[in-house]
Amino acid sequence: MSTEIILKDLIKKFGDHTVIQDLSATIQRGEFFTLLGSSGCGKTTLLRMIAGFNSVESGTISFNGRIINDMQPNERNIGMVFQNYAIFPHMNAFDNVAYGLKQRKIAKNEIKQRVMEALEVVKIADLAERMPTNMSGGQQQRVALARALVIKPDVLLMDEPLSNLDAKLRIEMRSAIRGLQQEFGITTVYVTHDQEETLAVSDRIAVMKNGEIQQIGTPEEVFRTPSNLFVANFIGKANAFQGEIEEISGNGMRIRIADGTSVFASVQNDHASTGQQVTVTARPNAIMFAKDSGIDAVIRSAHFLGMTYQYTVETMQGITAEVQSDAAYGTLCSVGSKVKLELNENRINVFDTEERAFAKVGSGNA
Amino acid sequence: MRKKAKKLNFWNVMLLIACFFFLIFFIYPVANILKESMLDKSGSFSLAAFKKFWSRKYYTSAIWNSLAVSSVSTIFSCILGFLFAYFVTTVKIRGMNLVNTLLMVSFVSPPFIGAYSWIVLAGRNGVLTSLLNNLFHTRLNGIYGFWGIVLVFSVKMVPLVYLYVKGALKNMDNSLLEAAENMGGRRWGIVLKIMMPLVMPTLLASMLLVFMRCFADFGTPMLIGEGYRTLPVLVYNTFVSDVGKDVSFAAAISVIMIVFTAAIFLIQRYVTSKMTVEMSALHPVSPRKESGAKNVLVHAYVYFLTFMAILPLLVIFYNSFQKTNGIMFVDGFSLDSYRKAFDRMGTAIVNTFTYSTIAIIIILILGVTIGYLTIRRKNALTGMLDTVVMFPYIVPGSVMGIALLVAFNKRPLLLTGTAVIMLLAYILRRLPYTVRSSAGFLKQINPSIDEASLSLGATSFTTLRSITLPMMAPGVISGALMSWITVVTELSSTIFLNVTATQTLTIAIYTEVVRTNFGTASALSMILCASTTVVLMIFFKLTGKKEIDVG
Repeated sequence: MSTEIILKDLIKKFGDHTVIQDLSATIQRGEFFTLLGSSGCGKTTLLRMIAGFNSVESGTISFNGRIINDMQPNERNIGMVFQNYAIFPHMNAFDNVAYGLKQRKIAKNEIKQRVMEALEVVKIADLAERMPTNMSGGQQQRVALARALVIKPDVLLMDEPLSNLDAKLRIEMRSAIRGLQQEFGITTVYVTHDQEETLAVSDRIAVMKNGEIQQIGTPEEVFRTPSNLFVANFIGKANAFQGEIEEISGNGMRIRIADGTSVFASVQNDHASTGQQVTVTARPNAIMFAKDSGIDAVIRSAHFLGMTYQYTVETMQGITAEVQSDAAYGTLCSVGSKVKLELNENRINVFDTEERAFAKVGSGNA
Repeated sequence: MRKKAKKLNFWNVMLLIACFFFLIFFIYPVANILKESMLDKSGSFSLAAFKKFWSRKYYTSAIWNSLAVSSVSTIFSCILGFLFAYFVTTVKIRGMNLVNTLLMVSFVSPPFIGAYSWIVLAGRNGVLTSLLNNLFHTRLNGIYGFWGIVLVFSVKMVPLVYLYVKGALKNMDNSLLEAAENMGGRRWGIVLKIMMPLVMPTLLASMLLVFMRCFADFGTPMLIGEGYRTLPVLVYNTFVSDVGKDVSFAAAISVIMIVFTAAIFLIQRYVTSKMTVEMSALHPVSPRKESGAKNVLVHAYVYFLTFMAILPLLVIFYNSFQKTNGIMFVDGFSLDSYRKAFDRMGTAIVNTFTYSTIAIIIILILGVTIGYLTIRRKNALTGMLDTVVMFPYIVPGSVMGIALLVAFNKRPLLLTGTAVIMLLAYILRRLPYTVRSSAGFLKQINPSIDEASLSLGATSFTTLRSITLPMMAPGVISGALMSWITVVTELSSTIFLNVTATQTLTIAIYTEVVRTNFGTASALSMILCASTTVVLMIFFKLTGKKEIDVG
């Protein structure tokens, strides 16, 4: 049976500086839960609190209902994978993986069997005798994974485990990690600042900023219906346009953007009022070049990226936006040409002056 | 929670032991010297000792003498060492491995052996002197005094500067030089405008180190100085030879010396902190094969300096097998000197190896513990300890000797004449290096390695035993070998502290040289140099390095 982690009213301070601000969250059994945020947002601090390396100033952390605040790190039965792998450099792969089992006073032949199994699982059984200095980053990462998994941990914690690998290996390892996590069903807390990685591996994501969770949700929820402007900007690119509510109707609102153009957004309008200032965001691929009407803009840069065309455009109001379109057909528009921008109304988000989202109607709650 | 309290106690106990050790065996003796320097015979406050020092040119000249020999030697050895490093980095030298090994062997030999060999070679009755006098019918009096000291120091310190500068040159990417050449720089222009500035921080750091060593060295000026009084010589004469044994005056000179070395130390700190240039080379400069006159000149330079560095050892090697009659060398070879050395100085040999081994074990335990405390258990007290532990570095050996002697010559801590006081001198003088290097190794171990061990279920003590210490071991052990070499070649402190029963090889050699008993002195020196060379080879074997860590 895997573990449910409940974080309740957590506060962490370093001196006078509050790093974690009254944070609560529930991480479900067997879930792949990602803490996403830029550096200094408190995600690693929170992970280290769960691991027991950082003390808890206030609030509780519990595993399956048992409060573990005062438990030593070595008593928590946690598997941890570190950013720099933290492979013991004076031990070969086998001894690295066996280390945790030896601490548990497990019989020699069982250790041997379990270590070999673990190395098998991460596909480096043939490197058992090899010293870390003779291993690539990816191989070291696999040793680190095997070492964390072999002790049958209640919880698996990973602190930016892929950030030191090259791009290709990162993609390979992230699917390996996801696969293993699914196979063993271990509750996993994963820390990263890489939004693409997050979307690829997570069951649920907590986006963090200044020690607070901005939004918790599935990858689709967080991407499609960000709860505030920060989340919208942090996960994927969001082009922002200033606007004003022109008219409120039963199932949404009409917003005037720039001069003349307007869009209709299907969002809840209980707290909206005509004339209110709002921000409308659209992903690069939710903006199209229109034939006749739209926001006037000039193409500042144009790139063909194989699958897509990538443009940077500047509107008459001086707003810079990114536009992406399918490159399966058509030709690359040239720099300097004048275009009109049309927003895909189904895929826009609206935020009030406090940067909070107006909830979408009908979609996004999947 | 109970476990946590126990863990803290263990380290606190170690911390207290370390603090008490320093308080009793270092702070107290040095503070005591300061106190003695400001007391008169009746025991009341007086600055008479300082006044006496400053009032007579006989004394003050020692300061200028010390500064002069140290400065001139530093300049010489830095120019020679820099050129040496530059040549071997850029030009392919035949037999470079041998050159390196010879330089290292010379570097780990005791400094005063150079002085004594140069007396044999170029002294009043030296081989070279008589040769020149016969050839040109001159009456050269041999190389003594200022230039003698400068010669010995300069030759001795070249390997140190060379190793430092070569380290820096290794970190300089070849593309920097190619870029300079590409933009039209000329060879010596590039050396002056590109190489020199990049190497300058290293060069300055090594200059100060050389200066410090020359300034504090006792054996060389004592032997070859012949009345050229530097501060360590003056302090020795005042303390040991003077009839009245003016403790207060010796203390005053000690204080003046500490002021100077502290100033040098602070300048060195400031310079190295301000001037570091971050460099790391993808393509280090590699030596090129040269031809023609340039090739010959460079080879001549490198071989000549290497020969000069190793010459003292060749001299004592030869002398040690020469037949002697009393204190005179006569024609023919024999093992008499060795026989005499073992017969008369057997205890010195045994003492040297016993003391150095015990000292190294204690240095290792204390050094690693303090290093660990200052890095992994940071608090106000360990921070203070971290600073205090470096103080012995600025106390010249002779001052340390006097301080220990004056502090522990009465009950309840009557240590004078015991092996303990010799061990203390060794430990205090070498501990700063071990603490620094242990701390350095610990800093390189990412804390997440410890955390990985903890999260895998190990206690913090198991982590220390099975992860941290084994990871530090290679570095610490190679450091210990180098410490051993410096301990067995130590003279400045122990010359004050030894009695006949606690004599060591260096003291025995010094005594024999003073008695002009060169045969025995040579045999003893060979025994000492052979053992440092063996340890040096073990160091190379263990670390796989071709050079030693200097400083």
